[in-house]
Amino acid sequence: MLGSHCGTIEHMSVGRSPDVTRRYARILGFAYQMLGDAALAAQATNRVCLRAVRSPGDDLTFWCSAVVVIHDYLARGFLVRPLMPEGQHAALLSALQELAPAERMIVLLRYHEGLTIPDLATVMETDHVTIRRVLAEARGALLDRIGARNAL
Amino acid sequence: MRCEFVEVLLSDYADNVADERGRRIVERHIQLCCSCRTDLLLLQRLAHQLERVALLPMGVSARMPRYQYELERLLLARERARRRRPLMAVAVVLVLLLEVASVWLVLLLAHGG
Repeated sequence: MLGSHCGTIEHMSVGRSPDVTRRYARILGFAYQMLGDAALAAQATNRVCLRAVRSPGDDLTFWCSAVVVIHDYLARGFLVRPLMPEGQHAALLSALQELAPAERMIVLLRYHEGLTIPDLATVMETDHVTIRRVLAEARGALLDRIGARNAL
Repeated sequence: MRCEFVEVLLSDYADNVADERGRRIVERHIQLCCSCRTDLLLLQRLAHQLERVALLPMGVSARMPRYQYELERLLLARERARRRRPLMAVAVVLVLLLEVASVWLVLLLAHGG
């Protein structure tokens, strides 16, 4: 993409590492749900990818880096409520947005990104018991907010 | 056992991460408790939905190439700065050498005069 704008840029393959390309959409989606704003999410995603290019690692390292960057944005008060979700999973996305950031982060990493509980404990720098408790509480809250319990 | 005591175990069970003892407790509990049996089903469905949900709205997905372009631009700038670094170091050394040489020359002329 950029190569065509800038002539001979042979080292652009660095930025196009398959790992970064593969993970870009996933990190962007995660960052968007965490920060609530597309531009902020893109900025955070690019920071994560820059770190990944500087010190490549496995998926876990990548998610650790994503969590550090998102925490940094949250600590600085960057938290925008996303536009009202639409479509098939609108109720679920709305309910997710009502969770506390740490709960939302754990739920997304566990169920959307498929991290195991030990991996989550590493990424969140906490213990398994806390992760399991947060997951149980957050899922209960999600079910209440979706109204799934009342629907049955 | 009361429902609030099995909440975490039920969540573990739904995720297939409960240990043997936890599984036994949950299985015994859901045989007797209709509400927790329903919750178990809902938790499993919820996990399935969370796995499939699209986190990016269409509008943001459409802008992704632009965001990736920005990343490539940042990488390019960093790479250029990295390549420029040795040249900068050489330039700094040359300037320092010139400074030393000029001081030395001034001193030499002063003593000579």
